Amino acid sequence: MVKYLHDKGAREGIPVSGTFELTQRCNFSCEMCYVHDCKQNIAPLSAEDWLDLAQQAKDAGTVFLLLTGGEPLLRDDFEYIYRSLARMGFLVSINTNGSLLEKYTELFKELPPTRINVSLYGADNSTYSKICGNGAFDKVLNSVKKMKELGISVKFNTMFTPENISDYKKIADISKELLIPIKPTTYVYPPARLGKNNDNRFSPEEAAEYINLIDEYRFDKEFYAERLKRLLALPKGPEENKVRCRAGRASFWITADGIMRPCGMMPEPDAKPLVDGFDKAWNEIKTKTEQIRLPEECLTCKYAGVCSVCAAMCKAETGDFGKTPKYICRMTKRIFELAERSVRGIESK
Amino acid sequence: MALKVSKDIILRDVGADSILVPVGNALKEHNGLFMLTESAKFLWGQLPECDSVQELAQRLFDEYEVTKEQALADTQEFIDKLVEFDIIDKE
Repeated sequence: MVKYLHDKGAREGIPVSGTFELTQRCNFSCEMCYVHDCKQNIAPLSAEDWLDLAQQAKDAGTVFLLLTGGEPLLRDDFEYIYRSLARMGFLVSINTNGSLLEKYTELFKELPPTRINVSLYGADNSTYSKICGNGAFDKVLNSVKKMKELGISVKFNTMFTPENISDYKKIADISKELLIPIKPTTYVYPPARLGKNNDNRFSPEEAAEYINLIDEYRFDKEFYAERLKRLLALPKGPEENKVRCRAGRASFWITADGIMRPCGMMPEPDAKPLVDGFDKAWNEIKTKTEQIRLPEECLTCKYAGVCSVCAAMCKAETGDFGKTPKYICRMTKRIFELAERSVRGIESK
Repeated sequence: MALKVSKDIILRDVGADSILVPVGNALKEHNGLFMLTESAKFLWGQLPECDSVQELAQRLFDEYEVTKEQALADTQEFIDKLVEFDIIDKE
């Protein structure tokens, strides 16, 4: 049903899902964050602003709503906003660092979110201190266990960087032990929205090597081998260089300062739902997204069917939707080479 | 027999489609969305005002070009589904 509704949304231009970036504030200070910057001080939208936008989104057909930040649970009025959204008939999920979850145990017991996505940054307090400036690992893990006990669906998102890669086995073990799915990534977007570069990320080749190591460790052997075979079969790539994901076609993102974008990773295109109303802003975003063209070169690339390149990556990496992000090319090529090497290794065994 | 709708289910329109969205504890119990056909949406809208399957079927008969037997069978099927998924209490 979720896929059906999003496909329908993309076909008919209905904003089936959306993200509200409730605040840019965060109690962590991660270097790789694309939203939070302690030096920036954006006046947050009021709860009434968010609820007004939500009512307009509901009227336009939005069903799935993701609350994110910064750290959304930092808002003093989070409970009021969340309760109102859930009662309006949205399926609400939450992105959080997990450190403040315990405060909302009773709320989530009464009104469980569809899912809580917890960013897991390490496997102990010292890695947390190093990456987040807040040694909150124990607190996060205890809260996650409590949410699981309440029957709430939890997922881990882990962004691996040179600072926490040594924890990858322990993190994968935590995911297995708690039966919580994990989405690991070693690719870190340059924080283009903040106008900054990210000098402290892996090289493209390292990003490929580490994600391969992580996947090899977390998947059972048969599943991992099957995945590699599928990758090496080099499935056909897209036929058009238009935006292919849901962004700006069936989903929208509203930043902490009330700007609508197709996706949170994109610094543009912009629309102003607070000034022009939700419908006009959504129509602008749809039109501008439809005009985006990814690099022509990507259509004829050998790796097109296995490459994860998207409009946001092109823009964040090169400043231009139409320019080839060489970082992604190098990473994908290395992923393919590693798959070839692994399969040869598996076959020779 | 009264037909009592769970308060924790909300009807939502997505384009021409209508879906039932569970809220609160209903979300844990149902863990999914329910798609309604046009006539099912009509019946859902009539539920709060009807005390029996027969009364509901009469409304369907009045609204759509169906026989009384068909209206009753369709209404019964709709109610059975809602009972199966604990969306209404059949008292």
